[in-house]
Amino acid sequence: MVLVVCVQLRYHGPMNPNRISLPPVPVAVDTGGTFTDVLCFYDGVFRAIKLPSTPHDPAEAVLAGISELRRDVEISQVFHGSTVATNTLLQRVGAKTALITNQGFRDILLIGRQNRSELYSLSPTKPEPLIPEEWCFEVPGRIAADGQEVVPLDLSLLPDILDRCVAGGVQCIVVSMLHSYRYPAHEQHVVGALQELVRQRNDPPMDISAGSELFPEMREVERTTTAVVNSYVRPAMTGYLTKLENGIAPAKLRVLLSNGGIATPSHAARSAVYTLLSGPAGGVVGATEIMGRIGVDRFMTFDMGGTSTDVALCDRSIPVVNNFVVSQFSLLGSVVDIHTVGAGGGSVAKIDAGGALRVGPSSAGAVPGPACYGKGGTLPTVTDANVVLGLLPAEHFLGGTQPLHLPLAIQALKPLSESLGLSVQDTAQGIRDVANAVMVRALKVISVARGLDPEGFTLVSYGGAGGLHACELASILMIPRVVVPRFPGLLCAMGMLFSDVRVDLAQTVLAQLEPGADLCPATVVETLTTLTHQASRALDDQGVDTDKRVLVRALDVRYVGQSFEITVPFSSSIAGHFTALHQRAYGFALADTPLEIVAARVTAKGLTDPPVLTYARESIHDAVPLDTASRQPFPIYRREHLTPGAQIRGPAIVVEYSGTTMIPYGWLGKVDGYLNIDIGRLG
Amino acid sequence: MNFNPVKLEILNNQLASIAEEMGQALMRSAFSANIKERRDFSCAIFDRNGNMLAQAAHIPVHLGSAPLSVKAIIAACDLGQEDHGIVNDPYCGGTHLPDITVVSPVMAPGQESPAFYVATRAHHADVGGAQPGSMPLVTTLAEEGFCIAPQRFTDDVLTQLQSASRTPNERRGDMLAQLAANRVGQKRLAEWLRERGFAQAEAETQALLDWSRRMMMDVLSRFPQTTVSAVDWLDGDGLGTVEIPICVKLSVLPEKIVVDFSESAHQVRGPLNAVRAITVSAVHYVFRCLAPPELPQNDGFMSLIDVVTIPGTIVDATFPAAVSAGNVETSQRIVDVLFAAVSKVYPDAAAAAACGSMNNVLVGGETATGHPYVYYETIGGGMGATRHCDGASAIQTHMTNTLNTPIEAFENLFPIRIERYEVRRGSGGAGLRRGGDGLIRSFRFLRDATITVIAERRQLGPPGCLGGKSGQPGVDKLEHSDGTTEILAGKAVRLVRSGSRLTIETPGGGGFGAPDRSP
Repeated sequence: MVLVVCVQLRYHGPMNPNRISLPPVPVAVDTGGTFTDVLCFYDGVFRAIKLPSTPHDPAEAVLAGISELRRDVEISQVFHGSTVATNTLLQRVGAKTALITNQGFRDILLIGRQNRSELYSLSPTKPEPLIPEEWCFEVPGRIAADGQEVVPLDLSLLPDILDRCVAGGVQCIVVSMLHSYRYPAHEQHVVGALQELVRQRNDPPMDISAGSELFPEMREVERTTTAVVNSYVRPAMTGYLTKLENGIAPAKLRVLLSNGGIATPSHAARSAVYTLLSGPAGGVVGATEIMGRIGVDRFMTFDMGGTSTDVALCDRSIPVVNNFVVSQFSLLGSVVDIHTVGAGGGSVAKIDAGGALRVGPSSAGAVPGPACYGKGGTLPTVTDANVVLGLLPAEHFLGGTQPLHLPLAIQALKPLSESLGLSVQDTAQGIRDVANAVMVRALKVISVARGLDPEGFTLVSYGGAGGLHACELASILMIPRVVVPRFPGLLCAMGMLFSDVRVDLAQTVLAQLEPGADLCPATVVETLTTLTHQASRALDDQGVDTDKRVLVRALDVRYVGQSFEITVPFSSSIAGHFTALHQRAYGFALADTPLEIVAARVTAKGLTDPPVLTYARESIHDAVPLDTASRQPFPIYRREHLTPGAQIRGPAIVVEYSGTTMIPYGWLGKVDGYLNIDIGRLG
Repeated sequence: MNFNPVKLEILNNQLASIAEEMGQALMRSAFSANIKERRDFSCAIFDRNGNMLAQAAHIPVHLGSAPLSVKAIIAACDLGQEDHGIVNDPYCGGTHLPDITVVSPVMAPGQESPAFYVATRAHHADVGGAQPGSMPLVTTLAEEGFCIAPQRFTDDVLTQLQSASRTPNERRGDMLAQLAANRVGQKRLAEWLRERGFAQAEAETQALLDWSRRMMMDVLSRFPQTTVSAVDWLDGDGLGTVEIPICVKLSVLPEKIVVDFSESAHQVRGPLNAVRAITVSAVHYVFRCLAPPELPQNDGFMSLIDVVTIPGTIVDATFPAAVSAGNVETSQRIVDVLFAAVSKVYPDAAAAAACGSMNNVLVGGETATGHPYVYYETIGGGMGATRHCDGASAIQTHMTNTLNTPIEAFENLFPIRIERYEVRRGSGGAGLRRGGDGLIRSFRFLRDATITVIAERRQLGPPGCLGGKSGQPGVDKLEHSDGTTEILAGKAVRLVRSGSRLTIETPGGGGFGAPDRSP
């Protein structure tokens, strides 16, 4: 059963009551570990539903939210950030996957790059491969670097390999062979032969893919790892997206990718590895939109949810990296640079073997949730500690639709307080301090550890639990300013409404350019043309109007002999442009050395119509707290009542539907023209 | 001066990230596979006295010895704003000839002499000498390659280096890449210096060194005050001397540790001799491993440790001994013997020996188009087991951490095909905790070539600990094109014909605890 909570989040003007007269609206859905957020925007109004996630079948909560919305509006598209791939990988519950390589190379995943990540450790570790040894197979056959077949492909072992895969319940097979980034013939033959065998023998359907399909890039370890992770998470993702697509028809489903762009479900399922950071990427896009409007371009995002916390550092642009690590796996693909720690509001506090108080990574999740929810949880969580400390006013949580039970929170903290020999209040403060320390460490990883002083950045806090901790974290890190956007608990979903359709295509070309020659070789131009057509077709598929398209062509260029490229925009002066960029980056250029064009790239964007955030003039005044006259230690303000220019002096609590914000003593909150609370340190 | 701990941590990371950025510039602009693919280089930042302030986590054997290169440059030349220093002389600030260090000054505004230095050290695949790869089986330094005494970097030095090397174009590209990395470091460090001024910068960096010293003091305070000793042996120098002992005596004194290698063997004819810089580097590495991971990556703690060596021994070689393998092989054995001693006073550090060799393979020849090439690679092995943990398999251990050359990159560059690259199953020593397994890598030569193999732990496998079994010793097998097969004895130089195949099987790590006890 799904609990549906629904409210209207009003910016300005009355909501249009006439359903018929509205055109269909886009909807954004963000699935988190604890809550699923469903959000739409029309007629200047955000309308949102926040409901408990359904981890056993995440689609259940999504569909429940959608049908609730449909009572009032017609839905055109659903933009979705999914954690299905991430959870599948983190919990190691993906498809049983097998690997087929050239003879002599079945240990490719086990060996990796043979280096260790901890330089000074007596017991360095490597990640446990996703594929056990018994499902790593070899076939004779070898293509050399120049494309020549030096050992003929021998397919005679395939029936036996397939037998063993079927007997072991294998669902996916990845075929990864050397030099396939440029010469995929062997890979394709093996894939074709296996598919044919499966059909002839009437075996259960098997997801068979070639390692070079997704990223035809040189360096076998990273390419194979990415292909394997992709296959490992793909069946779960495919099943999930199919179910959603059917459930929301005739509305169209669009999936947010880790690079902050939008794609069709078939594309997202095919490259499921690309959705690993989907939801958090939405948050960074949303934060960037909001901060851009108030003229802040150096900020750290702090997204504290129920189960985990995601942080990112934006220094004048959204940080995108071309390879990334999830769960110790080095993967290819451009993604928003996000750091995640396994601690959030629902994280459970316990005493570890050494007698120290620890918070997370285990979480009370959506079910049963923190003890104070009264849904059967008995373990003490960060949220329970916040309730005990009076920071989370029991009657205002989720707009009052989810009552919180102080006695249950106290009861949950009791055993811990007895073990620690502390009062329940002090225990709650202790849990909060430990949680803050975990968050501070996460923020340090993206700033301090890169030599960037947090003092030069603004902290943007969102996620339901973020606002309760943000100012304290800022104090510890000497960050002078904290911004809490309107609807902090819905920002990831909001970001999805701002995301553009994005298609990144690349093809290895390896063409030489003699010194002084500027004319781009014909093969490269042809490749760019082909990629451009492919990209245009992809935009056609996604229904992007021709006047909303942006296509960018570029080439990856290096000197012959180097291994790393500089991306140069495509122009009539490739060599000149490259030389200038190389000189600027490394301080030297080589006039006598030929250039090598390694890859052609096309990035195609389909610009969407983002919601128009309205601005209202600020008129400075003191905000008026709720007259609760209760035992609350701090004045409480209702976010919906705050108008531009309102000021709140800490200590104070601001409650709203999707989150709670604490303004501590010594801080002053001001509501700006976009209804963000802009909090600064006094004095 | 007192510093807020958060500010100190920021400072530490600011300097480390400058070193990281230097490493990126070097890797991305370099030309040789050994630098661009395997990342056989290190970058670090030094104060005006040559103390290392921060490093990027690269190659341990480079990092512990780099301060001596910087000090040699400081002593040899007054570097002006536009100058760079260069050195590879093992007897004057270097370690072995292929490792070339470039040092560049950073001036404080209005000052004449350098306030800080940045340095890169990279392993160049060929600097001349008797055999391709510049790690030949010879008896003198002169035969090992081109030696650069500490001096100002000039076009002349570069030209001489190029004419000495079998791959001159690659040398030029790599040296320019090192300069590029140093310029990145200079620029960033100058910005950093401008923000705070020289006096503040010096106070802060001193605080960083003190921080590292305090943390190490805390570690050493847990050692009982006593003296222990340990010994281990190198297989042989490849030129007739076998079972070469390395002995250490470790004395724990109040607020000081003395690590004394005086009893070690005399220097040998073959190239296994380590210069003192390498011994210091190995000691640095071992103590760094004992400290908590948050120990700032600087030299501060080395003032607590006295390293005693006698000139003319295998751990403190004197001119004109050959030294190329001291850096890669003897360094690993110094680590083994020092860990054996340390575990007697600090049982938490008890571990079985790791692979104990860098399993060096060097190949030189011509490509089909007549271009000369030289390839260098070190191959990982098994990690030793510890009380709580099996040893990791197929991994670079202790003094090195280079990556493998991706097979696809390798085969695009050289007329050699990789035919096998596998885990060497069963090679780890048995025990309550198992040693990690070694690796197998097979090379098929498609054209005639000269090969050099320099490897250790080919006679006896890496020893286990507290009843754990030894790992399997390594095996190096050469299948000639005429059908005969030869087992190389750990150190060998051979001319191989097209069609020959070399298979290196690297040692597994030792096991921990008697195997029959249940966990």
